[in-house]
Amino acid sequence: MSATPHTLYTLLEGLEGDGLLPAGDAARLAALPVSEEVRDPWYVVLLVGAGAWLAGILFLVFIAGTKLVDTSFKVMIAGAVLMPVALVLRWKTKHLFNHQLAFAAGIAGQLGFVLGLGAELDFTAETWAAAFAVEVLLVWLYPDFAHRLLSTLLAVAAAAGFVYRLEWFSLIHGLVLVLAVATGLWLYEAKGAAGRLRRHYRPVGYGLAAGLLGVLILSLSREMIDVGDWWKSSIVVGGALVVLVYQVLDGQAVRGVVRWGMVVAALAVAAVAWETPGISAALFVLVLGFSRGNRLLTGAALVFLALFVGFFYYNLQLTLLVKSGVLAGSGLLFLGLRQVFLTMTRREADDG
Amino acid sequence: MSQPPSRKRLFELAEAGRLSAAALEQALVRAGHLPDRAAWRVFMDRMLLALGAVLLLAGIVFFFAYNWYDLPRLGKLGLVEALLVGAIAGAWYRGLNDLVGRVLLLAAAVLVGVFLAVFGQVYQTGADAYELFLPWALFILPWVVLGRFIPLWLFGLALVDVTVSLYWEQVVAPEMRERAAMFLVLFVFNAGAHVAWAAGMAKGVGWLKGKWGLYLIVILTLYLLVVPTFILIFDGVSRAAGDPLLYAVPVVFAGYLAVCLWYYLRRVRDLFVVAACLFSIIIVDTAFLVKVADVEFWGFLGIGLLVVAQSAGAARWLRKLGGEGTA
Repeated sequence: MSATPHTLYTLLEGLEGDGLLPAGDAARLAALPVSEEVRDPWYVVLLVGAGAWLAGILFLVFIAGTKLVDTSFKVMIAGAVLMPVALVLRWKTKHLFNHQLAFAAGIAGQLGFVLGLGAELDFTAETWAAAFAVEVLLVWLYPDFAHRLLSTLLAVAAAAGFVYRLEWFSLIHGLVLVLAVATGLWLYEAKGAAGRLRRHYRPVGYGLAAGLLGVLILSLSREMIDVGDWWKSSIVVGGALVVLVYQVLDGQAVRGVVRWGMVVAALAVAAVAWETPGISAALFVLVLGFSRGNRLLTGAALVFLALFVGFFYYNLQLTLLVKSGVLAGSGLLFLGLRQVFLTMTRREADDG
Repeated sequence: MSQPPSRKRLFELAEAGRLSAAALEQALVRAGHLPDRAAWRVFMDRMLLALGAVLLLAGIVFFFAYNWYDLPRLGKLGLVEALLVGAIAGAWYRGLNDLVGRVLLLAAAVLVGVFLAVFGQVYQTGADAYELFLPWALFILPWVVLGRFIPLWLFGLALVDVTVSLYWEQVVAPEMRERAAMFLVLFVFNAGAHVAWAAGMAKGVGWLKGKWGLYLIVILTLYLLVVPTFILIFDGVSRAAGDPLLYAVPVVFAGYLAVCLWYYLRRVRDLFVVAACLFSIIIVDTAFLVKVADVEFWGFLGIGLLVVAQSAGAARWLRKLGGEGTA
């Protein structure tokens, strides 16, 4: 990413010249005051979300402690009442304290509703289906970045809970496929920003990416859910990675050795990380983040990549000696690929 | 008119309906916010190097972790020595200005530990685990200093932390009753690393520009103070009677917070560190209130409202300080 020589005005002027902006808009847009709408840095979003979560749990303890709410059914009803109250408070007020209070009350409501319903229904698949529906509704209705991100994550968790309670574990690969495709929509970020869903696409996009990586954490422990055939998810995310790499580089007119080198590397990763689909998934999000110049997505993907690579060893169903051979062999494969890639790009540059 | 075409500003215009999707995409390309061919080439080069190096090293470590009786003693030691010498020679040949050279130096630092472990395995030294980590940390110290490589630096710090923790567990307090001193010693090392990093950044040391390593150290240092503060809060006076240094932890915690907030507000504006400090304050005072107030259920409502007020206040303050965000 080279440094830009432009000012905003010269950039917009160029767009105007190419017919991408109506005549006269460049000067007008460049002179517009900076929006007063706050776009928080990620750590402020995290602080707000974590604070609301903590307060929400304390509110729930308070509700459970009152004599008025003494059965799981009543906890569910209290939760169901709190959610619309939180929504109205968020819609109707502008003060940050009220927004945070609404967020915390909403969290308490969601937890109360799901826990109460779960206690009533013994946490059957229906509980998780209801939780999923509630979270999707809140993503749509609740006008807050951190809340939408959290609701997206909770919706993914509810979907995983649904699959778990159905005991049809192979469905998890279908969920991984849906999440990978949905996360891939980051490629159409510009359409999201300029479209009707401009308030939703970023928090939902981050939530989906985190949800994809979060679901694949299940593959790290066979004690949690014994899906047994994680290689199916590896095919899903490995395929998604290869398609993504090809499409992104094609779209950005990066062809020749760089493109094919990256496609081969993606295939190699998918093949090596057969039992650990999280590695391909983290690389999928990493490539996506890098292609969009999105540092937050890239950074999050790197953290998960380190986690999945760290656990790669444990997932290999082999003896210690063979495991070490697979690890070292994989390392040599990637270093060899790098050497081939460097040689070919150098040759390509020499050929002009 | 002279404002830069920042990514945030371009998205703001699009989200306000002033730029079409096609115009936004073109603007991002022309402003250099999307990677070009050269950037992709560097990305791929680094990814393959990092993945390859990590997996190869892991393979070597596990090869020697395998209790391989068939290989003669000297064969094992010779093999690991050959790898170590090869990594050092490679680093020397490539030089420390080259990324591959620095990765080879990091590999050599890891292999020193493998050598010490194999040595202990071959000669059955019966040493405690900290006796492996201590010389390991000491031997690689010059490379950490000379390497000018953030992963190597963090690896060195991690070794020091593991050494201190194991020393405490195995020698000083095997029953882990007197843990405050361990946390304080760990704090001294990590806060020292923090100060060194901050000083390097202030002097414009090029390789310390990336902030992710600094943030890791700040989070770890805060963690090292929050955990013993929690122990003091929840285990209380009875615990502190056998571990009086626990009383010093809140003082050190307050001091570290004060210095961080002063430095990152007044000297170098870094709101991530400020946010981390504020969050640690919120969780510690919430724990304190829950424990000390010995609350009935009404109290939980009050403390919940206090958490709401604190997090809203912190967010408002950070927004005011930040002016414009980056998410």
